Amino acid sequence: MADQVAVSRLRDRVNLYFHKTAVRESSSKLALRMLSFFEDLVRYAHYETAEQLIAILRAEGELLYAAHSNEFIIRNMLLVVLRGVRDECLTQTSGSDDTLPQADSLNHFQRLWFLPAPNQVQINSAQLRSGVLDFIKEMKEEINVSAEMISNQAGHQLVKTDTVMTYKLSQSGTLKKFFSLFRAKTIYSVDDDPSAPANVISSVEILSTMKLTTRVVLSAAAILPDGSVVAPAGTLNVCLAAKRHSVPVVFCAGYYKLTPMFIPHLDEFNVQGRPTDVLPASEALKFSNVSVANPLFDLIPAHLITLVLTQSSAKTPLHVYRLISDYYHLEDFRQLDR
Amino acid sequence: MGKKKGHNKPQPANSPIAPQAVPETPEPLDRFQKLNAIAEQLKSFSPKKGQATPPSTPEGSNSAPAAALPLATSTPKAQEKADKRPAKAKGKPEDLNDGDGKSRADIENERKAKKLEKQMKKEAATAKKKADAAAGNAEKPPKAPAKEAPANKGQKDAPKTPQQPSKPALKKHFASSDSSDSFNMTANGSKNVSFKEKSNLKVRFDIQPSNQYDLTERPAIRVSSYFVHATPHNVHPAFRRLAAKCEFKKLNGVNELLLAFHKTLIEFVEDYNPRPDLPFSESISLDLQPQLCCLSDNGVHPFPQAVGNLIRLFKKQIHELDNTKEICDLKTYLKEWIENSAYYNFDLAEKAIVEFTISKLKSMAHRRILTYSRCPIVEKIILTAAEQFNDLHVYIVDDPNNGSRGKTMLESLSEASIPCTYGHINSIGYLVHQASVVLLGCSAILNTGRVVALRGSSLLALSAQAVNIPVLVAAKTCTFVDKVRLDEHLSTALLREPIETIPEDLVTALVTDLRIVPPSSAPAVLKAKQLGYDN
Repeated sequence: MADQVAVSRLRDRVNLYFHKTAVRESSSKLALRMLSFFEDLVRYAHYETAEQLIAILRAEGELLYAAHSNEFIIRNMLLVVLRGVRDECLTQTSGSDDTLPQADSLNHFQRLWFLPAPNQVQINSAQLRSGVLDFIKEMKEEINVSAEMISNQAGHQLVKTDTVMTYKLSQSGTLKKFFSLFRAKTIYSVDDDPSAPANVISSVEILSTMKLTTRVVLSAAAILPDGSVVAPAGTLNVCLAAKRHSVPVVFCAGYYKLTPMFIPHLDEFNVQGRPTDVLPASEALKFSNVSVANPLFDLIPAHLITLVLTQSSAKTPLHVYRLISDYYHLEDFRQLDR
Repeated sequence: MGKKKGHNKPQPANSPIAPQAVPETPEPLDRFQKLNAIAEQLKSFSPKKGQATPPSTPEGSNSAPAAALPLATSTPKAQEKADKRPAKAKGKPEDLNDGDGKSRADIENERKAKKLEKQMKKEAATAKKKADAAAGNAEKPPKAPAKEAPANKGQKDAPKTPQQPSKPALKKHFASSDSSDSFNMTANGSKNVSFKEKSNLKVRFDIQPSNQYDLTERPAIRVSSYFVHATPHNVHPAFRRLAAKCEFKKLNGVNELLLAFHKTLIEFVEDYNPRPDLPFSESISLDLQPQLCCLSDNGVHPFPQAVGNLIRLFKKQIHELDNTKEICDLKTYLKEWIENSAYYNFDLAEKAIVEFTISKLKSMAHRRILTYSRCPIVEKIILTAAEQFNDLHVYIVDDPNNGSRGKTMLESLSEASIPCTYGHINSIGYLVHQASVVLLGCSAILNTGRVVALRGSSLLALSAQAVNIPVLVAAKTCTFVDKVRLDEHLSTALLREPIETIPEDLVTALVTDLRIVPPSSAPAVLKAKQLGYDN
């Protein structure tokens, strides 16, 4: 019973976290918070087998995700932790054989023949617990250095003399880090506030400035397995203009943004921001029958993207799906309802 | 060789120095210092005028290599200068020698003085221009600055250089004697003036667009044609009112501007009293010049394209006037022409465009129109269409940084109870999936079919192409111009709104008052309407 109370308390605490943040903070912070939530669950919940642990985590995670369904990161972190649990289970049953290539999907199928499913295995729950907690700690560390590791790849993709265009530089932690570590000669930031460390241009000038640009570096909100990217609204204009002028488009994202979900049409998902950002409330009476469009995200199809930079690799959009199996387990996202 | 001219001239007999190879392009100052040293030496040979050594002596280290310089380089220049001077100076040998020394230092000081002279001349020229323009004479007097210049030079030289008192005398003599010389100077001077002005214009090859449209910084075209300086005396108040309205942003968009321009022209013609000495057409075209200069800041900013069209046609009409008729007849004829042009190009043309577009909209299943900011013709189209169709939905994209004119459109549409959606540029990606046609307005159509429109329209066209929906541009035939441009970045004389060109491959069709044409048919429209330059 004690663990039930603990779990419900953790649940309350994380929901409070969501309510408290008026302005959405950066994705990495959200990912860290999610990982902490799952970490606490692993630490305080009561379970005997790995299967039980997986069930608990999934129940809590899905509940949270249902409450905030526009935050892909919640589910991504859930899947990361579940994968960690399965991995731990595997290493313990097969006697700390950690040289198994996890990325090989063929091996997964092979192993199903030989090894028993997690629910049948009696493993030491204490060992499991400590193993999973270590794994989560590693994952957290990876999030913390993701921006830096992405920026380390900048030198391979960009040259100092490049003219780089980006979108809303000051609103992305990853991009800020990227450009502070890599001093490009000219940086154009579209639609940014004037204090950004770049030449701020208005979005109406995208097409004419694209003639002068040699690279476009953008930050993704989510990376989908077909190579398309969910990005802040307005990024589509930049990508279309870049395609027209044959400028390579590079998206930067940490691994926590890899979303194993296809989105054929963004309308179902797209979140609208506040209408008062577009039309001031003072004119609400005058425009009483007018709807206001203030989408938060744009879906960038894969054919507009040249490269996706994660902290471990640089991949073309066609090969992004391979990263999915790096971080998530097949079992977990086979049963997603979306 | 240091001096490229005449290095094969014979050396003077008294030169003990053997010619040696001179470094290819020595620093000019260096060169003069060295030559001054030589001049010193020469003077020491012939101390006829009892002069002190020139103050601009180089350091001791310089004088040693200076001695090695061949005199061949100094003599050709001196001989040239001597050739320019009248024979009087050549006669005296000591003058020649002193002339050598003086010409070196002379040149130095001349250059300093020339800069000052240019400034003085500019001021004098503008003052003269104003005075002359008031009197109706626009010719720049070339002689007057030349006459002023030597006096200035003399004045400027005296405090600057502690030179000999004979210097100013020589200079004046040098300057005013040869008419061709003074012509050279003024030509040089004027050239240098324009060059200086050009250098003030900050021509940049890496234009970095910034947040604010700082139009004063944009490079302006220097029109080299003859123009009359506009003063309060020769500009009709109607034009001034027009200019003021534009500056205070009371006129938004080319359409309103054109209408207002028509009215201004009518006022001008009505009040116009022709000059007694010239035939009517000549006199009116002469007096039209300062009006246009007033509007366009003396040719610094070009007119918006469609307005240029109107002006050209108007001038053509004036040219074709039959001067034998009565003045009031001619005036009425001109006024009628202007009124007709306004009627055809505005009332009738807009009706035609609206009809054509609605016939296109009829054939569509869903009438969801996406438009950008406010174009009065598009507004008319939508209002008329709303009467016929009841499933119309309009998506308006607006640019908040530049006037938010989409809001005025939104107001008028919501008053007509048309369902609308409003968003900023970042919502284009979302709205374009819901719209079925894009309707844009334009301010001009270029010869190649490129559309000159408000900045930001190209983003709509780009996104529309990506989702395969047609882009229609409502263009009146009077806005077709026989020009080819890659980009319109330049600020125009009256309209200070930012514009850009939409490439022709992004536009599906132009809805004109003649018919709906693809953008590649722009030259055909020009020919049909005889708006081409060769007509």
